[in-house]
Amino acid sequence: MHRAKRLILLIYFSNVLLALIPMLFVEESIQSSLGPSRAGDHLARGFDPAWYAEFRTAATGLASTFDATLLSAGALLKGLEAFLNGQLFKTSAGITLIGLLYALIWTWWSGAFLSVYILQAPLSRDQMLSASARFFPLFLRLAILSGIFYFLIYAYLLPRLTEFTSQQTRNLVDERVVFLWASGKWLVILLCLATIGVWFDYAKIVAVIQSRRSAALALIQALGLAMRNPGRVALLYLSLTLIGLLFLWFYSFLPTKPWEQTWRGMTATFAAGQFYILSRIWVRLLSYSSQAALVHSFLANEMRSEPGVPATVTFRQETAMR
Amino acid sequence: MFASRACEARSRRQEESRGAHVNTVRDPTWIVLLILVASAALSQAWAADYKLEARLDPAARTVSGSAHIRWSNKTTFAASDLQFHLYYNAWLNPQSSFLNSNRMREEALKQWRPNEWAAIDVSRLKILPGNGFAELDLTSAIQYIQPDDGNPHDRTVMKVILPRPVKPGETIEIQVEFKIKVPRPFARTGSRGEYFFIAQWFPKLGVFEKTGAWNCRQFIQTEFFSEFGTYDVRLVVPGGWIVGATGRQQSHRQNKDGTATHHFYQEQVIDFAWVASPDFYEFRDRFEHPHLKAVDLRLLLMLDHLGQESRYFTAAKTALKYFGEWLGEYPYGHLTIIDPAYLSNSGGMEYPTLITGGTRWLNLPGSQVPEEVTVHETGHQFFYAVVANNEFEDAWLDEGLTEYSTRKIMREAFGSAPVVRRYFEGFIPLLFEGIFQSDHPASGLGTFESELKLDVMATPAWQYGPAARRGRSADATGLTRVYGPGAYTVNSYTKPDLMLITLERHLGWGKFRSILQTYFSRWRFKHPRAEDFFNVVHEVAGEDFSWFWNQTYRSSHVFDYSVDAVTDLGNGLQSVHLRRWGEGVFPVEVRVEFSDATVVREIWDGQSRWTRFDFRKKSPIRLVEVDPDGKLALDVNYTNNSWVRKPASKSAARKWALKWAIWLQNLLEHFAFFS
Ligand SMILES: [Zn+2]
Repeated sequence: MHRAKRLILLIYFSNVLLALIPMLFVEESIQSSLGPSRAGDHLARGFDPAWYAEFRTAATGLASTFDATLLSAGALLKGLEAFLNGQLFKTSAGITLIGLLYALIWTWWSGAFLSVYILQAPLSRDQMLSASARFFPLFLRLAILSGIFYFLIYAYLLPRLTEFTSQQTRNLVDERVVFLWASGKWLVILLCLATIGVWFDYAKIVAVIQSRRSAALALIQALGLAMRNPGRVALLYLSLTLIGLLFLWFYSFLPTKPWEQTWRGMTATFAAGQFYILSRIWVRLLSYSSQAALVHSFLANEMRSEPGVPATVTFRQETAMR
Repeated sequence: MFASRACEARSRRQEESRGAHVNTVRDPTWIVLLILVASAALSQAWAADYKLEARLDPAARTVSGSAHIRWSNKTTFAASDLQFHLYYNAWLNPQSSFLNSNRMREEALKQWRPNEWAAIDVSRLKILPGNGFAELDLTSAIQYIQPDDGNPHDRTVMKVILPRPVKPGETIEIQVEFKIKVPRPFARTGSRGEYFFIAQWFPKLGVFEKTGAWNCRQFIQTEFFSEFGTYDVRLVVPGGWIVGATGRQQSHRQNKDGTATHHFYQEQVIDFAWVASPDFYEFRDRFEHPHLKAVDLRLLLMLDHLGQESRYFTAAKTALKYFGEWLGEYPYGHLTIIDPAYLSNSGGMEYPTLITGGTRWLNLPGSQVPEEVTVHETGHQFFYAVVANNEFEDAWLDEGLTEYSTRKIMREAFGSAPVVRRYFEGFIPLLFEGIFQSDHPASGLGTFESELKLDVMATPAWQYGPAARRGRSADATGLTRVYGPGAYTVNSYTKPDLMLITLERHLGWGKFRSILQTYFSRWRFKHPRAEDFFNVVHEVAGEDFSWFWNQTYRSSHVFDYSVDAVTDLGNGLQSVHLRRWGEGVFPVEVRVEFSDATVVREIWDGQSRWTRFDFRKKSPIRLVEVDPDGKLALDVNYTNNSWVRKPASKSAARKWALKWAIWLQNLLEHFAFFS
């Protein structure tokens, strides 16, 4: 992982930047709504629901997404819920735009990440840029292609599953049973999202290893690899998910109280938030590197069974030469 | 209702007459009293008594019933016809007035299967012999009328013209055979699985008013109105099922066909509702108080809410205590609390001696769920069941008074309500300590498209307009929604609540409490109108409040006072500018605090659009507040009520924007999944 230190920081700072710029608008909006009133004092110490009720009716754009319950576990649950039910893209046009921009930044740097992991060596700045530039067109095509699958999950599968579960539970009077059905639905959605995610990740890895330019071929080969080794693929994904959940669990312990207006309190909560964001970026990169290693070993095994081809060496040289 | 008063009068007079007998046997007033006693005894029957028999068929989702109705004409006018509510026909077809006007219509049409619509079908109606009437079958004389909107598809009011009028003081007895088709849960009645909540289910007489006309409105969007009476009801349900109902259970008999008959009886009530399900767990408790009549409490709890029984009981007892102490005794001595089944759309409803609460499987301590709804519905036993105003016309009288009292009780007994958010289709709750629901319920209602302007409160409730499409406001849970509520909700709950809080703070609690007490004792077992409440206020407060009703009840004014600016004019002269943004006028106090900690309070009559207070003082003004004690609860913008020289707005905005930014950072990582 240390090999990608610079990349982690790059991604992290783009995350911070993309959040801080719109933050200034929200801040301005809150401040002008508070004006010279006592509500400012209340908000500095805790919260002022009367002010919020007024702010909420008047707020537009990004400011309309502001809510006092976007704290620690509240932020997590809201985010997770939005991710699972597709509301992520419906929260606000501004947020969708920022989010897609951030996804694009990831797509851009993915080429560099994967090159680092596959070459097992740090890259210079120029090498990073050229690796990213080289794979970006293909990765963008893959992202758009995967977007079609995600769209189908959210727009087609999810409403049908919702309808199906509500039909199945329409005469149940025990909320716990209905909850089980709903959990089943979310699990299916999660599995579908994860399957598409893993498939396209593997396609990217295969493309980097074999210097492929064709999205279709990369996808077909990735699918073949995953189908031939389903146990290991699933095991790896599950472990990564568990690591992710562990961080999530830690973060959810932050109090759902508004911060006290002390520098210490503010700094501590801010630091915890940043640590969580970094940990998420790290988990995502960990999944790239470990999946790359796995694909590497699959390919090496398959190549080794074909006589006369020194598998590993070929990949390395090919990738490094370009 | 009249009988009740007559009953009290009779016993009082009996006391008097006994005394009279000893002292002045030959006094002619004694004979007059005797006659009065006799006439009082004669009129003891309530205006409408019902003997009902009903058999539930869960598989067919039907209830077959028969009603023996005894109606007495208590007015000075003859009644040439009888008019009945057939509420279940509100969901008979998509063209009914209820579904035509209702916001939930599309949802209903989408979710209901063809056999899940409701219906009430009267197969026979006849006059029973006696009381000067001969037996006569009137089935063929049944008409469906639409007195309110003329919609020919609406069959919620049934009328029969009688062979001869029922004269003042006369009684008529009729027999009605009917069958209802129980719908998917809608408007607090219906069935889900084996949970049947059956309300507004039998042909119910309208109210023949003192004016000599029937008040029997179509069922469009309001609640109900009916006469006091005795209900003697036998319900046949599958054996082993648990039944909750209005009244006290008299007996329970197992039948040979595997069914069981449950017998309930209750005097002096305006309605009868019941629930039957095999899924209930039954709990009992008792409310006791040094000065109030004890109340037996019976709770029917769903399996997924086991463990929450004490929360229901505590809330009901709290409500009985506060309402009892504030208003007067709860007369019935027993109360059944129904914990509604999940998604059964029957929660939060009141019926005489029976209420429905509402909670969730995952519920957090301190969430005030189900406490608040239980307090509210228990409160309705006072404002609805005992003081039975006409909910078609003056829905705000019971809803507003109950909402206002509930808010006060919740604050006093349970403290401020923390904000609870629910995630994942509402299954997962999260409670935010330190973030409370607003103490200024009017806040946020003051935009240009204010909900408070949807209609005028004095409009009869059944005529209130629909929701405005562009409204957006904070709702009771502190969350927000894009579409505001309809004029019915605003004018029956929100605004009367604000109006009553304002009045209470203006008059002081002592005086306001005696207003409530007087209103309750004077209108017990009667049907007051809005003017009757206003008259009690004027009488007890010793002051005419027409100026207040004109601006609140009879108009859609909004109230908004603000501190506009504070200016230093030099030489220690400082002036405070106040402004009235709303059309509503109300006297307000102004509190000015100087840096040397001195405080000056001024009164502004609030009549003009703006005013200025000048102060000559070396020490600069530190803080200005208009209406510092929040007496004018109707003020729609609380933030502009204050001005501070050194506001903390900048750091506060940064702090909260930073929280928002961390949430966004988090969200961005979700977006990264799609890279
Ligand atoms: Zn109510």
